Amino acid sequence: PIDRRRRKLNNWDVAPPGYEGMTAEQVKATGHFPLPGQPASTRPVAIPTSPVI
Amino acid sequence: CSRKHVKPTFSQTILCSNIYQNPAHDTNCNMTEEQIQAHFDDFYEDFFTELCKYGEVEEMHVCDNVGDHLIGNVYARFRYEEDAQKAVDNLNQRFYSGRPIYAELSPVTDFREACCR
Repeated sequence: PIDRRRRKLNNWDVAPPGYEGMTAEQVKATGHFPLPGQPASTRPVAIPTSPVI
Repeated sequence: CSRKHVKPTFSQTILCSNIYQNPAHDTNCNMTEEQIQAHFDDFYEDFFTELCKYGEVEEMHVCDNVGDHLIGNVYARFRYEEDAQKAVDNLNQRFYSGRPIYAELSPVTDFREACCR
């Protein structure tokens, strides 16, 4: 079956360096990975490892 | 798109924004045509193959446009709407190549007619 096909790349589920252990939703909420044309957010976001104020 | 489009509630087609990072757009890129094509082919295979885990994929297109709202966008049409919805829900919780995936349903059904007016 096609989903068992051997591939040259394996880019799936590779988290950004330094963001390992966070979910994709949490990483998007940081605003550090905006889509092109969207301003990078400077909004402070509580990251799980940092203390929540 | 910069225009206001109504996002569909049901669709066979999904959009993953800004997924393909074309090395040719890097000003320091010194890859040959063949290398760039091979890079693209490997990406296409890797992405398409994984999408097939969510259901039968009928067509997949990668935008080469450089406009902010189109650059690197991948559009894929599934045979069944349920599979497209499942793919969007799931992809939004995954990473590709060190970046979080932004997935949504797309109103496009016929790629030859996919043009804003």
